[in-house]
Amino acid sequence: MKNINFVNTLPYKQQYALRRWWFLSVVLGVGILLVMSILHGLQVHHWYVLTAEYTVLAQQAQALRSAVQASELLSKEQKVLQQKKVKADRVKQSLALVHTRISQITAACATAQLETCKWHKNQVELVIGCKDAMAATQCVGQLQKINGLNTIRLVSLSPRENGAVLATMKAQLGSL
Amino acid sequence: MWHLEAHDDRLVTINFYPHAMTCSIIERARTAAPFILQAYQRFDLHNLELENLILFNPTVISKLVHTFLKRHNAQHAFVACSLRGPQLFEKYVTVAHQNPKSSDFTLPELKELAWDYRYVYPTDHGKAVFYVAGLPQALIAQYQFLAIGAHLHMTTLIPEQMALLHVYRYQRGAAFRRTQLAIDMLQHHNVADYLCNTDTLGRILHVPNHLVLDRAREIGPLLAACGLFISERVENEKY
Repeated sequence: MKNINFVNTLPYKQQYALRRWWFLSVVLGVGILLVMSILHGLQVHHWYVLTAEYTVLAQQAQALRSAVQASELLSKEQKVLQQKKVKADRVKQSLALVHTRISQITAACATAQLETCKWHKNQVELVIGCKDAMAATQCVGQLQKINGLNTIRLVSLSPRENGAVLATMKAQLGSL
Repeated sequence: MWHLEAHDDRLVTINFYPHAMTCSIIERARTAAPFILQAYQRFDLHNLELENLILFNPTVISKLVHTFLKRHNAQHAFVACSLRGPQLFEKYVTVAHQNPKSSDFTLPELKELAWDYRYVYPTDHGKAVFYVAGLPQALIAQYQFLAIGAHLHMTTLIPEQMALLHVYRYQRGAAFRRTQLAIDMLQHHNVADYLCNTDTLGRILHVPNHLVLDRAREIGPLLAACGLFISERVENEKY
């Protein structure tokens, strides 16, 4: 026989069921929140550790950066100086070569008088005052013995006073 | 939803009468009687706290109920209430068929009431007798406010006759027949109070010795309390 109930309520079993579901939901909700909090806490802790580490490393990197900049600057300067040194060495070497050759040429033309000596890039032009043409030819022979002067040739002979001649010679420059 | 056993099987029943109120706590028993009365108290209200079911002083009533519940540690138990008094409209109405609609009950008193009807028994002429009960909405609201104010888990508010009909049906068990109910009701001029007696009470409710009460006087409230327990815990499980 069904009731005539003037109040519209849930049966007690449904109320108990609702209470169970509410309790379960609260427990699960709290559990989920707890788990989420723990996971987020771990993440936040990790972030905090990384941030602290980053701060320390950033300070170290700042010092390192200035050292690197100084190093780069010095390296550039070193490169420039190296280039200058190479250039100076080359000039010094070429001057030494020229001095050596001039010494050799002077030694080779001991019987004659070296008037001018024009150095070009691969060529040298010598103007030598000789007693006569024979002496000029001997001088050419002496000059051919010099190592580094190739294909030396007598270009011209110009007469001077007292039968002397002014011999113009050209030679190709080679390596020693 | 899975089912788990209820935590507290006790039921607090409150019976409201024109000048009195009775509170009792009933639960299932493993004795010869299926139910056991854990506590019972009658409150005679002669100072207009409760008059003709109208709650004039809900504070006092609430305090009385609360004191009763606290004394027996039943603040969280469910509460079922029954009413009996002039404000409650009750009538047995004969209808031509067993499945009437609300519009078939053309009673002028019902227009201003919250009412409902239940099939009770058939007549010899193929008609059906329905129990119609109604209560003013304001009165229902009063009882609901009382429940809210006193923190009562009120699940039921029924007429006492309905509770007695539940007792009748329960005591008949599988042998319950509406035709027999019809005979019994006609014998007693549709007064459900006479369907049950002290013997019925003794068979379904065990009253412990420490509870001293005037059984002849309290039979009505005790049967109504049993009816409330049956409607809440026994009948409710069937539907």
